[in-house]
Amino acid sequence: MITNRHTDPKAFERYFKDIVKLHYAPANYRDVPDDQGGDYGIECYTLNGHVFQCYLPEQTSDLAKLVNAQRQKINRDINKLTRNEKELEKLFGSTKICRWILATSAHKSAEVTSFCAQKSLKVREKGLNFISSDFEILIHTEDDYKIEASRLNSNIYQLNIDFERNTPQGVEGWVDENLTFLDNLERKLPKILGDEARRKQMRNYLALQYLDYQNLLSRLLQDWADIYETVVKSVQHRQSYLESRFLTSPNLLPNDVIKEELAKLETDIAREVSTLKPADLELIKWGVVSDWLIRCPLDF
Amino acid sequence: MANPLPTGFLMNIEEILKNPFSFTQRKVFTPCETRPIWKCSLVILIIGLTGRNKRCSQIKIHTANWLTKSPEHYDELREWSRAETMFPPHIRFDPTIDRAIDLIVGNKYAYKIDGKIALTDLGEALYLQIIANDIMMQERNVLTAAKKLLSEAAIKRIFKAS
Repeated sequence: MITNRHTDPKAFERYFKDIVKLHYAPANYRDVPDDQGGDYGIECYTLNGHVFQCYLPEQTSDLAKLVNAQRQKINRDINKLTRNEKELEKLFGSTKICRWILATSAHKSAEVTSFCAQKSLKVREKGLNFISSDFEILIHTEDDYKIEASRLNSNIYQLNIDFERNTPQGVEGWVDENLTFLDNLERKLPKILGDEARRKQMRNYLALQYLDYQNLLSRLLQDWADIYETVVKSVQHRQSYLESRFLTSPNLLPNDVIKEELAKLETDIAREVSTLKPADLELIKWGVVSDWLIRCPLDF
Repeated sequence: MANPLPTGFLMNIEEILKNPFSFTQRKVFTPCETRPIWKCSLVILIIGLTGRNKRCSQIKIHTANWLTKSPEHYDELREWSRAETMFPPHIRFDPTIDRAIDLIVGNKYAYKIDGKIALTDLGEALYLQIIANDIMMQERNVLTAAKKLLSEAAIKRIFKAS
């Protein structure tokens, strides 16, 4: 089942309904499921008279097509208000509807805004019993509910990336078989850690993080190619910055610089993929440092 | 041999990043399947192997690309096609496919017609070259096996049910 709200209209509907519930609170929210018969062009409404209809356009890059699709959607569903007048009177009860909101993924054109304003006036003229005299048609996107979206993404809508994780014991065997591959790491660790036992532990830990990070990337590449691209681009961006910084200043850089870059990397990825679990973000950070040490750009 | 992470042992990234450092440019490994030339070849292979009259919708190309990524995906699609599951396959779109389509169209290996992507003579010649050589065998095998499951009508059914 497709559960990506960016490509799956049902997933988008579920997600936006959760946003509405969070914004208005469940006690002020009525769901209008469409499992049995039609939904009358309505997904849900709130007791203060705000009706929501969700719409995920097939594409948003071609502006003319997007505008046309959104206008058609509004027109079709607003006409249902008149066509289903009797049923809607029962559905709304004593609630007077003052807003009909198209919850969609992109709002890019003033033409659609004008269309909504004009269409609002026409609906008012129809004198429907359940329509309030200040009725307006609006277009909302996730951006209009930043706080709610952020809360949902960091709590409920988290990605469960199912990748193979290594065990410390398994990694120990792998390290023994890949000593040449880890030559760079072996050479660098004595520069930062004096104690030999600690160095060994750190080497194995970095190898573990490196392998798990590679497995995470492989799984992303297989099943979440868009997220894979975001992660790889963010890492490349930070890496390019560090490379250019060192080129212009060939002396050793203070450690705060790399710490800042890793913090920025974490922020960048969390912003782009807000549904990533904190544990996966932490693994990416460790994985990147391990990769830089093993592959050699980073030295001390 | 000692456990690499004894109980209570905590690793802190600060411990590694406490010293001044240097940072030098090194080659970055790019997985084969993310390289433009490989992805473009895959799109041409998909259109050539599964497309009627050597043309496919974009959504079919995405589905076929998803199919080539893992044997589990083929199982998912087969189960759905045999009505063994009521859940349609969990297909995710790959942004590199859209770029590969743009590249092959821009380089005259394909053209867009009636909402589909069709191979030009040049594209068909490249497709035949791929087929004549023992390359991309894993992808060819799965696409050949799943050809009947990848009709435009079948793809529409998947996305309608999703």
